[in-house]
Amino acid sequence: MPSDPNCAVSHRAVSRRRFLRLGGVAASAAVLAACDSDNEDSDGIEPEDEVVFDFATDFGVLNFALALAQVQAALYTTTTQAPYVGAQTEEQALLDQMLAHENDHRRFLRTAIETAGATPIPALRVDLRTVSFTDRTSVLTTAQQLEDLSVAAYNAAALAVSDPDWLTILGKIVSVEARHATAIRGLIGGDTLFAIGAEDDPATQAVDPGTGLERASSLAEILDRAAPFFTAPLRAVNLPS
Amino acid sequence: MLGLLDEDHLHALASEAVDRRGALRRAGALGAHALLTSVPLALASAVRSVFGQATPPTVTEVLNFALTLEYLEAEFYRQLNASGVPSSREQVVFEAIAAHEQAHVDFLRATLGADAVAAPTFDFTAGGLFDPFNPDRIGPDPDYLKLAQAFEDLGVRAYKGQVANLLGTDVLDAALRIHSVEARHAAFVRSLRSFDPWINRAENTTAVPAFDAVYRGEDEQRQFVRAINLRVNINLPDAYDEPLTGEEVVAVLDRFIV
Repeated sequence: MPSDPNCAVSHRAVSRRRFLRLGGVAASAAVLAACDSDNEDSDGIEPEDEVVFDFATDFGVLNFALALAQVQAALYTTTTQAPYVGAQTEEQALLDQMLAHENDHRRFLRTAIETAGATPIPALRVDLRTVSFTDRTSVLTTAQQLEDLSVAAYNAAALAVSDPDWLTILGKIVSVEARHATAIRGLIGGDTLFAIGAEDDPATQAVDPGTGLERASSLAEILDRAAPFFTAPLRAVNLPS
Repeated sequence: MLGLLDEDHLHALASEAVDRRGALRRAGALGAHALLTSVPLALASAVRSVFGQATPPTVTEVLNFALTLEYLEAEFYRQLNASGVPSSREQVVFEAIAAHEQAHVDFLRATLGADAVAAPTFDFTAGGLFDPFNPDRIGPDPDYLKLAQAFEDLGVRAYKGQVANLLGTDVLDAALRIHSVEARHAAFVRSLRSFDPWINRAENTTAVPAFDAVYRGEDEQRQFVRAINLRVNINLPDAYDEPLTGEEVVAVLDRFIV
């Protein structure tokens, strides 16, 4: 929010820091609390500033979830404002709703972190330069990757949570992410095995056919896969073993 | 089957079930199978603790609760795929879903070992309320899709209601990974029925009153983290799926258990 003088100051201050430690109680990040904004175009932290998610506390998990919601909201904001070629009314209605969901996840997570007295991440600068927003396949494939990644991320991050109520709340969000993934997969491939993540291709398959379990990745792997969508380097500390 | 919502009845049955389980342990492997064939009692036992007011259910009880739900889903899709009712295109996906549900059954049974409850006998007509597997009764909005949707949406809420009881255990990971797969299934079936893949407010799009309870409370806006006295409202209930208690889930399942 460039109109917020406190926010502008804090961004300048933060940009001089080597590390921005989030999720813990680090005082350096506290000034950012007031600066988180719904506007993805607002000044985020500078690209050289590393974003650190400290999984030692539940707030590291929640901030990581907030980061993923930010990139999803950015994708859906862009594509709903300027739809790809050949966009059908029905699929636009789905994308509109998914944008509204992701924006609500962002607001809720940020508010919850703040209300609990911890520090939410600011609006991170999102990198969607690899997406061709005029091309349906490019947009939907990216959306599918992000939704599938988000499901795996919540499933993995939930194992790092210590409070049962936060665990339940993460559960409330992850199943909607899985519904999004199915919606997007259905837009790509129709009512086929692909829609439920049961296609043969292990590169994209979401469900392990042998166990019927969602495919799992470590948080470190998930961070690596999420990293290209952010201009700032992401780092996780105190990952669960 | 049992009037599980009648508390006195339930507690009486559950006590009996606990006695039987005690007897079961004493009897050892020899008598185990025979005793556990009385499934309603086993289910009542699992449910009693999930209901439990004072003490949280044991992991075994939670997993048996999940197993009962998975038995229902696996058997539903098995009968569905044998019925000739789905289109060939649908059936390809239903075969995969059936395989997932059976894998969940196998996983839970393997995890529970000798503590696993036996499969109940299911009646997917719910005493004549539905006719899901009748090829002559496939209308524009067939029963089998309504049942599939309700079971999957119920499964999502059922697992969500139990994950906190599995915090810190080895099975939390698998429970979460089943939970998200159930959500994928649910979204698929809802889409087949031309509804949004997610639940709008608390709308029961099956329009079957028996499934009102599957959707009740889905529009909850208040979110709590009790340990830190946190209360935050969400704005858009569609963006969140809400949990159901074991009691609420069993009240729905009950109709389909003979």
